[in-house]
Amino acid sequence: MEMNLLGLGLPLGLGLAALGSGMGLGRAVSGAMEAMGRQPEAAGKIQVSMIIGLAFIEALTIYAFVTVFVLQGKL
Amino acid sequence: MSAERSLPLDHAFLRRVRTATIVLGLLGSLFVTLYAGVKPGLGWTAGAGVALANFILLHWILVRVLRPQPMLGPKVYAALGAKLPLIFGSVFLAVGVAKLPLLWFSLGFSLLFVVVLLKVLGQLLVAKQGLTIGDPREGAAFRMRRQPNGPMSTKSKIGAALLFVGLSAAAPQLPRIVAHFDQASWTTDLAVESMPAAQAAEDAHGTDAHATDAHAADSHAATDAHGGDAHVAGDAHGGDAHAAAGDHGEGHGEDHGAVKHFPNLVTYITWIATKAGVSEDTTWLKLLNEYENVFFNILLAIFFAVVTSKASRARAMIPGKLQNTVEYAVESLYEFVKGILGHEARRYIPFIGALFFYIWGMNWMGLIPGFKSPTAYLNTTLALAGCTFLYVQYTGITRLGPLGWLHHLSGSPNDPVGWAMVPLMLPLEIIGEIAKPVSLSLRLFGNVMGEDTLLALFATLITIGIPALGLHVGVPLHIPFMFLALLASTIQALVFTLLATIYISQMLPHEDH
Repeated sequence: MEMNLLGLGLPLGLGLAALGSGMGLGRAVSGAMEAMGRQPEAAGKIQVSMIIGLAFIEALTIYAFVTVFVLQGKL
Repeated sequence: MSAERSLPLDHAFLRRVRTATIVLGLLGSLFVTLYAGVKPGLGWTAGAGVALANFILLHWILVRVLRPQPMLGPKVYAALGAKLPLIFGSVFLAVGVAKLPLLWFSLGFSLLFVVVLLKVLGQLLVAKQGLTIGDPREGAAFRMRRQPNGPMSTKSKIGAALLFVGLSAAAPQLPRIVAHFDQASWTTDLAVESMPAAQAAEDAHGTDAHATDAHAADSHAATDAHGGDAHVAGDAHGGDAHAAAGDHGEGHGEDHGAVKHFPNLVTYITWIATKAGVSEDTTWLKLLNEYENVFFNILLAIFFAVVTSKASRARAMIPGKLQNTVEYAVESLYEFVKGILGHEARRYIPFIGALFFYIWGMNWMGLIPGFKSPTAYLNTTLALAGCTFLYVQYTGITRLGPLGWLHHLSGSPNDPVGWAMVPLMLPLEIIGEIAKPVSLSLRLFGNVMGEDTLLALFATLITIGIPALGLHVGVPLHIPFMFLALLASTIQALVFTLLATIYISQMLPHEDH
């Protein structure tokens, strides 16, 4: 059975992408929560912009995830 | 009722002919390009374009000549003089110089006349019933909604339905044209390095598949020889389409592929049919498997059509359960969109609302046993994102004007430094515009696909857990994740809709600065 580095690299890469996204998401959510706590009347607006930001951050993990699926056939 | 009044072949009629020809011409060029090839498609487009240009010029002249006080300036004479050389010149250029196929060119050219004929027939039908356009007693096909600012004004429901069906039918074929342009690049690269099993499968079945087919075989190599046979021996176009879309994960409704998915109705139908002795190469079975996602899309569309028409037909002052639910859903979405678009929300809510509920429904479909999420398939999300992209650009062109749109695309410069930066900003902004649908579609596809795969993987753990732990009953390990999926599906539908709304709002004229 031949060694396939992809088997190591794909999960590792996905994990790294998720790590970065997770840190970014955490920062974004903490900032939004703080802002909402300070200004509860603006919660709606903050929430909407937070979700947009989260979508963009999360997309980065999704790209890694899609790459894993594209390359999965070669495992 | 006199013939003049009941048969209004006037300005408005000509305008409707023009609109219908533009829509049909674009649809036609899409279809001809997809099914007959690029050259016939170009020929068709050129033919329809020449006929349309001729028609518009003629319309322009007629409007000026046939006024109560004719405006016979030098412009009109110039247009009259230029008309024939222009038309014949472009026909000569298209057929003689560019060597576009004459058949498709003339078919495209005759489209306008077919439209005129059909429109006149329609007018005659209307006139026969003693009705004029806009009469509230008209049939559904000729009803024109008199809404002050409604986006659906003067468009018939039948036309909209035809457009929808046409686009749905065309969407699964889109990768084929990508494959046409892209055959030599990344698909072949992947195929060269594809697994030996794929090559073996190809040799075993003796197909003379070229390099791109090897890639398709790759994705099916994990399936059993029978399934592989059906797919590899299928037409080369199908292979191209699947290879270009890069949809290894799709699994073709057989859950023993590389990526696990729950079996669905199509799988059951295929299984029962093959047990009953129907060959896998039977046309309807092949079509059903190939257009699996479209099948579920249509199911969902029927569901929505039934629910909304039931809810909106017999409207009561005190709403019943169904009407209440639908009204609540629509109202809350409207309020949400209003928060972003303000007073413009009314104009764009039909598109945005349809997008949201359609995506939401598709995402949740994957959680019902026997169904699958069509959004877990890149073609579906790509089509949705493509529609959004086109609609956003259309909004930009119509609301900002063509020049305003270009100004927006060059980064809205308003000082000398800004104008100096245009050569740099324009490509950047164009790339940014193109990146929008790509990221939209990949985000939705990746999320829904990941969800469904996760659920299916945990469901297989049930059967693995039984012998390992000595249990007699499997533990449904995927149930907790179904709640997660319920939440995530909603959020993804919301995110797609929200981003579409933001993109639209960016294309609207800003009064504030």
